[in-house]
Amino acid sequence: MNGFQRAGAVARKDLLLEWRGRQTVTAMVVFALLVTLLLGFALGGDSVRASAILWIALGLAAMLGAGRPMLAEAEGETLEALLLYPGSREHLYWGKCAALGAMLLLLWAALLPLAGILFNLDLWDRLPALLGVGALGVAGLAALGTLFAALAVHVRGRELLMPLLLLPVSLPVVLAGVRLTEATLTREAPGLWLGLLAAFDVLFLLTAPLLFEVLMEDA
Amino acid sequence: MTPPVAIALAYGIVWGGVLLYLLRLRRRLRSARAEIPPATASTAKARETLGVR
Amino acid sequence: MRPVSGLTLLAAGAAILAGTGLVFGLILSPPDAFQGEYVRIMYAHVPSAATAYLAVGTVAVASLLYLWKRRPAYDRVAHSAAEIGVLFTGLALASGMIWGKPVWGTWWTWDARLVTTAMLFLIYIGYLLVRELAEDSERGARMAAVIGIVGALDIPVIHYSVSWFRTLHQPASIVRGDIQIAPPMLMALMINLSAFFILYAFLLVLRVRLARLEDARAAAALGETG
Repeated sequence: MNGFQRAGAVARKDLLLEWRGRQTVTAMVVFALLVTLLLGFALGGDSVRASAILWIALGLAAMLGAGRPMLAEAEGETLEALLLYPGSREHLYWGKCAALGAMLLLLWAALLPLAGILFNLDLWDRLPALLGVGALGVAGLAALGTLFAALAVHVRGRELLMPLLLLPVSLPVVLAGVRLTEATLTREAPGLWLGLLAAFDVLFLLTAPLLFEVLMEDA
Repeated sequence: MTPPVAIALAYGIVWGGVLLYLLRLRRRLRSARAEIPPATASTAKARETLGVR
Repeated sequence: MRPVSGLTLLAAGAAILAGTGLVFGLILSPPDAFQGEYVRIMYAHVPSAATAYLAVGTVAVASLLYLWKRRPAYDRVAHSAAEIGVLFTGLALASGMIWGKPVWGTWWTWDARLVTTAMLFLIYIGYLLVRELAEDSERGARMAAVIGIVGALDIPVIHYSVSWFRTLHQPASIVRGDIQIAPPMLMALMINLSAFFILYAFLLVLRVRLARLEDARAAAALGETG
């Protein structure tokens, strides 16, 4: 098996487990919906606020769900078995990152029409661009979320750690996502944000696998 | 805020913070030194290399 | 009697420079044309912030070295620098607010440097917390090194995202750094900067010594020999 196949197998396993239980995605969608409604109601449902509210909801939901798959593995004591398989730990990272990214992208795809309804946005003809923006942001969130999930497994008070780490570090993703979504909705030029978000993604997609291996040395 | 008040506040916080940290560090150092039992060979060696009396 | 150690020299250097810095900052330097006497807060605020960023750099370098060589000494440096970094970040934030209130008329402004520094504060509090909460200290050291590296990589990105986020939509707020600095002011700032850097080195050496003692204590408690 080469690296791609190995990563693919891990991603398929994570997504299959998630599909059987559907707990993480359900919790994330419900939580994101809750945040969207709360912020929309508290701040007022102006369409200009929609993209900020959407990205805050996505970021908070990622924080809630990112640690879950790995934690379930640690609790079921299957993480050790996973690590016993031959091959680089990096592939494990890629698989987990892809699975988390797929879940978050699903969440984003579910949030978009919802925002269209709640904030009265005309987004249907811009859906591909919006999904693209979402994918770029999700890549960054998944890259760091997977890394911090590996970190949180061996810490007392695991639930506390993810918000504390993921939220401040992924601030650029949220800010860039907000501005890019606004630019897409108002048909403005994205400017420097596209480059910034891409740079963030590349930076952490390159470094996180290496750091993941360090964390997984003796899980 | 008048200038003297603001300046006193800023300098007081910065230098007060540094001094408090330094004092706390010294207290922690003292208690750490006191708590190392001199019994074992390893700690005796550690004491020697660390310059603990 | 012990001979004069490097540590004593550092302490003496920091004390002398700090004293000189206070004299220059509070008495010898002129008031600013726009800010008046308030500019003197700069000589405490800017060195604190610079020291905080120096500490973050130390954490990143020591973390990398630790992951590479796996020597506990590097980890002790990283841990110590992170603690001192959190201290100076907090001091920089506090003194920045006290400076901002009379000059800008508000304690807090959504300025890029302020928000970046606040994020830095939060990330490195997370760093220290991970060490506290880790199941064992070797694992904690590895986790902390990961956070130290990610945090340092992230800070420039945070800075740019935060500054663009505001400036692309509203005119830039007052930028303090653009004030033309007169030579006597620069002199006072330089003296204070060097005082803080030496003070940082002194605190770091002391804190690393404490970390070494604590490790030795933990080893003794485990009953290890040799």
